[in-house]
Amino acid sequence: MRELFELFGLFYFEDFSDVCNETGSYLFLILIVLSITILFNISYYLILDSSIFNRTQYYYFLLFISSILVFFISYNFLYLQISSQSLVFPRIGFLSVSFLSSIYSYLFYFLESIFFKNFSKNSYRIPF
Amino acid sequence: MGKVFVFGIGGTGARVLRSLIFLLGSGVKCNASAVVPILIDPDSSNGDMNRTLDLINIYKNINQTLSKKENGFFATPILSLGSLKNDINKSSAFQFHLEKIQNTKFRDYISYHSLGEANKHLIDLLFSEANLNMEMQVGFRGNPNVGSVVLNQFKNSEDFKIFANNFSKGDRIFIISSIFGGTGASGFPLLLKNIRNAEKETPNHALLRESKIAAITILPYFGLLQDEKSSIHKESFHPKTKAALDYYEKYINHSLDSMYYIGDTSLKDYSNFEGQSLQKNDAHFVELISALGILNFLEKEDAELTRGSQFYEYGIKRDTEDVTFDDLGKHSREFLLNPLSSYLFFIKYMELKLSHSISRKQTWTMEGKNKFDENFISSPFYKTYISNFNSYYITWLNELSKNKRSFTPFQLNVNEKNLFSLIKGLHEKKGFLKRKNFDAFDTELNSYARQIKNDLKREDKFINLFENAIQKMLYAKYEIGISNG
Repeated sequence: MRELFELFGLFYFEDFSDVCNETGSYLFLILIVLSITILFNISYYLILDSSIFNRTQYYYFLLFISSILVFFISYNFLYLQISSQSLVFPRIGFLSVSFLSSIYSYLFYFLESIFFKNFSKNSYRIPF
Repeated sequence: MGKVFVFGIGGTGARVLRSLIFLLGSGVKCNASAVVPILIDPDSSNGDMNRTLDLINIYKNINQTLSKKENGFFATPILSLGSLKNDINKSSAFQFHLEKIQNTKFRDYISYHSLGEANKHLIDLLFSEANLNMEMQVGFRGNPNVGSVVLNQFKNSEDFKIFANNFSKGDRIFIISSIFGGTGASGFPLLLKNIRNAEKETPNHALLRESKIAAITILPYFGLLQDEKSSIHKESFHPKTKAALDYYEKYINHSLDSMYYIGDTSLKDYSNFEGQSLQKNDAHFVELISALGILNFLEKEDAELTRGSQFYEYGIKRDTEDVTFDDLGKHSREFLLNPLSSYLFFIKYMELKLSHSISRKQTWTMEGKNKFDENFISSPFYKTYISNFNSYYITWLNELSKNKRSFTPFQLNVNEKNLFSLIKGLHEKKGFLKRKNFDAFDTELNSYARQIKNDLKREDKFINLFENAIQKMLYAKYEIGISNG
């Protein structure tokens, strides 16, 4: 799991990454990414499934919103988690990991939409 | 079942055929392999007839563009006598050609001047001076005595031979005529006589004699405004009807396998035109029900049809001036509600949404191999045939709704915001998550577009898509079952 957030060794904050890994924060961040993107996919393909919203701009809009949401939830979660351990790390660490979560949300959202679009009556051609 | 030859005699015959074409277009079940409409009217410029001929040609073009199918919009093939004979020159002709009547007075038609004195006196007894001086190219102006002489040319005509030649085992004949005018009242008995007593020289004469024939005779259902200059007066309608009914009872009914009678007590006075292009009466409920008579006849098995024993009338549930689906009997309601509503929803989509859906690339327009784009809208199939048919259909419904008695089952002025108020007496099933108006329509189209076969040609795909989407939508919104068609 930590390899995902360390970009397989390319991106590593000493100690911060260890703490995140030991506290199970990386696992939880992935769960946040998965649950938010699934929730947004369900919203788009099943709840908002209409002939009005079956346009790519609405798809990308929800993609953008989900990534913002992932970013803020990840940041707050990490901050609370690490603060509760009475540890202090530079803000760039929190921002970077939250940003990576947000990037992964794009990827997951897109992959999940390939599955969820099959259940849609109107948006099965979105995003392609 | 085989083909059905439908003879529409006179202006009323043309108007009933007009209703029949709209019913077939909307997918009402027709238990015949093809319909062969044949219009008989000496008045070749008659507005009613020309409007019907134009409509038949549009329908035929749509049907021929589409692949053969069992049911749905435009499913029943319409053939002309010319096309049966493979006569290219007459392949689009649905009109029985009457000879020697253009610019001819009745006097000249019977060669009055060359008759002997005794015969002249006999003719003077049977025909008035006005009858003898009548120009026949505008019809018989309510004079069946004239019509019965002129229309006797049926049996020797080329068209009658083509008809007889193409009559096959299992084919049926239906004759539409009014009883209170001139052309229909005289043409019907003559036509029936010529078929039942087909001479040995006539092709398939044995088949014709034994064929299953039904007729609808239409009793007065409209009046005419008083016009001193016109030779047609509404006061003569009822006496003529009584006399003709008496004649039919004695000499006609035993030759028919089914006889349908229809008329109305609620009479609207139409403008008094003797014929030609000005005679273009508004569509009437009676004509629609008369067209149903044809379909009713086709539903019956041969064994059910015994000559001279089946007579039908038609009634509605309550005597109202504004008839809706709720006023029809169960069978008629089931027969008409779904197809007429389906086709009207189809038209509403064309009117209010199609251009937008195409420019916006709505999902159903882009799905599959054959896509719907601006080229489709400007293709002859859509621009010339479907659009014109739809325009005629709306005109027909408007005429039905403003006539007396009116048939007004639809709110014709619905828009994007109240689409499902279209059918009077039926209320949309609503719910928090239920899609509304064109969103519901498009959702069914989008959903069905994925299921449709990819190898269908574009026109087939278009019609098939709408037929199926509308059926699902009607069920979702009103719980109307699958179409009869």
